[in-house]
Amino acid sequence: MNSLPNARLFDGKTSLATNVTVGISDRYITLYLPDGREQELSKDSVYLCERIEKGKPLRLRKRKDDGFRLIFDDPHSKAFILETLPGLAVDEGATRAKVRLAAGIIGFSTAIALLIWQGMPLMIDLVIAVYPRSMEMDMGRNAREQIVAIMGEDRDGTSACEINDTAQKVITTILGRFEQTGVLTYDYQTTVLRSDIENALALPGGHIIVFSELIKKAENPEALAGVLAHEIGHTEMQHGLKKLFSSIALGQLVRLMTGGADLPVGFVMEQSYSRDMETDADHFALELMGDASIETQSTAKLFRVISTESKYAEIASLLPEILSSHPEMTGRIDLFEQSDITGTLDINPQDWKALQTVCD
Amino acid sequence: MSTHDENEFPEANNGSQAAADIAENSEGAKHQDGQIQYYGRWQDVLKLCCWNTLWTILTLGIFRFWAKTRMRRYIWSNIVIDGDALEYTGRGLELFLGFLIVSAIFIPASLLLGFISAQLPPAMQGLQIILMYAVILFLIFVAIYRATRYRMSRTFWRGIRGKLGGSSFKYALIGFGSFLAAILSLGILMPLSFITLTRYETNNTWIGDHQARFTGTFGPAFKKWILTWLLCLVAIAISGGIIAAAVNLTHSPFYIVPLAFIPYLVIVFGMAWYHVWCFRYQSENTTLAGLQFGSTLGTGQYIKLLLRFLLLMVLAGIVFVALLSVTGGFAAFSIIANNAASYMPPEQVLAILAPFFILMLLATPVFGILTFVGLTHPMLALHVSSLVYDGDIAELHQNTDAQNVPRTGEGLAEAFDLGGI
Repeated sequence: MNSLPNARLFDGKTSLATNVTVGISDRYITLYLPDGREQELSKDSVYLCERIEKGKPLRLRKRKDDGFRLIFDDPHSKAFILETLPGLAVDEGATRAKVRLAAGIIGFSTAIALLIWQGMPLMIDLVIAVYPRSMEMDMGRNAREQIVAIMGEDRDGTSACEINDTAQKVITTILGRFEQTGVLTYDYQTTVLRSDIENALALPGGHIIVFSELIKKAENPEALAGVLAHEIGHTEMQHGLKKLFSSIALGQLVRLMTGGADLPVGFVMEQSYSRDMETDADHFALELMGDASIETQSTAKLFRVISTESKYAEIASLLPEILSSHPEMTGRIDLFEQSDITGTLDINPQDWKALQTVCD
Repeated sequence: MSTHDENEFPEANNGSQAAADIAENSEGAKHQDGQIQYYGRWQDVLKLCCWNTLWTILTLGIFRFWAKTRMRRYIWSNIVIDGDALEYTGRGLELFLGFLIVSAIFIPASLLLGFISAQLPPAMQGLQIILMYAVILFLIFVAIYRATRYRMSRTFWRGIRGKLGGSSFKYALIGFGSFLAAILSLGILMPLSFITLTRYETNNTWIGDHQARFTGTFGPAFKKWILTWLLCLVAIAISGGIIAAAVNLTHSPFYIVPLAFIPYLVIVFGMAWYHVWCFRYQSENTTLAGLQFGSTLGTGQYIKLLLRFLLLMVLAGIVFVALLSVTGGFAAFSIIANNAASYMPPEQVLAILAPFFILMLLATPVFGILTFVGLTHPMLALHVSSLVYDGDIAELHQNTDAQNVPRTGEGLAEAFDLGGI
């Protein structure tokens, strides 16, 4: 046994201190009380109350905190304790605890990643299975109105792109051909908006929005049919709803995980989720085009034009695929180009021209 | 048996360099009987903040529970009453578990809210937003009380544990009700919230078997507040008058609009004065274990601290702008504002935007650290070291068998990102 430093003991029942002498053996800390009694505690059962700092007392407490405190005020006693109990650390501060913490954080992150990767799609599928169709259609209608309100106006505020009867005939013919396959389960309505973005959107409940520049870039109605088939794919597979729910869930999860930080992690995850949907919609479109006997070469050509000539293509090509919501374009073009589906749509060139100029 | 009557914390004149440093840098600590002292140093806090932020970023935010625990342990251990420091015995794991439990409720609830929100017709959206904010406000009061309860339960002094009894639901009802009263009275009844919430919280605060008491009443707080409120009203009116004059005058001098902001400085001063008064009033009307508390906090100290922080932020802002300019940040702003990316070579766009986004991502944690070190911590130091007490510190007792200690902590507060220490 070594020499005996002095300390103040608080027993957790009263705030009055008892001056004790402390002895330290191989396994135990022995407290010698003024009344001659002795109290023993295991060396492994004590923590530092806080990290040791020069000029401040050294305070020990039990692992299971019952208010017991042993306080060493004078430098000699402190030095003695530090020498004889070199493994002293604050709670969660020992090397073993740090290793456990690191392992825990890695394990937790892995569990969250698995939850997002496997559990979330399952949960969202469950929610969508019980989600009423009428609500989905209402949601689509509301979203369509909002998008039209934001984008469907000219600079002078007048409403744009009213589809006339001739132009409507083209869309009706394309959708009619698809309906004949018996695959469609929604009543589709198409809106054309004036925009220099070559894109189309599928909203929940059968609402499709096509931007005017895309129709202009399409060589023929078959090319547009490919785009509509792709958007129909999104609708039939309820991608709109899935994206909405996944976006809410991911957003909350990331916000909670990071403590409110707006990190782009959720965005990147969402983009990955989107890319899978785009690929699924492409495959759906190919099947639908096959069933409806509409060639896909024109759609491939349209994709190629968009990917090379578009004013946004340069910027999009800069984005690594992980940040892109659409799969890499070459793969998509190949998919439509390599298909051997043949057949055309019976659409008058004047009608097609009327649709292409609907926003002029 | 003996009480410890010698201050074991270092003083500047005891010969130790470390002790001298601590005393020199202790923010506002004065050594006299009956005064609560704070020995925390901004250098230590800065170091701890930097490490905590680094690890929090590296672990995508998960480490923040342990970071918070480390900071609290440091701060508590530097608050000294009658020669003995407080102790914080909370664990990061407890905060993390609290967060997990609340998340398990919060995420499905958010999904449900999002679902309901998507179903409502546009006309109902306004009502839904009001309802949502009302629920959130109520839950924030619940979260604040629960977080305080947890912190109290992990606070010890001389081995005696703190405790906050009462019900967080009741506290939220009081808070929500008094907040509504303040809104409906155009802010006139604001002190009602301060008095009722402080009374409920203080009267449910215990150290061991000793209960705290708050004897403050609405009247004095209202008298002080109404002066501040009138001052704000006059300041707003003067400011409005200046703006109206600037609009009506065809050749108004260039300095007239900035002049309109000067009355707002009066509002800041008035609010600081009222806050300081509230803190002193709260201290002077609180008793615990035979001690009568008080505070020497002054409005001048408070304003000085705010100005110092403002200066720090201005300096940080200048450094940030300088860095932006060095890394081509203004070009990035211009590209984004003019949608010019589409007309430029992609490599050039990337070369300009990449450093800009990196700088923007770094700005948040850096300004967070500066705010904590430059405002939150010195503010806490100022408040704590202003506290004084009258009376002899009695022998405190606690019945260790009767303690009901929460096992996890602060999940709800974390969910609402309430911040603080």
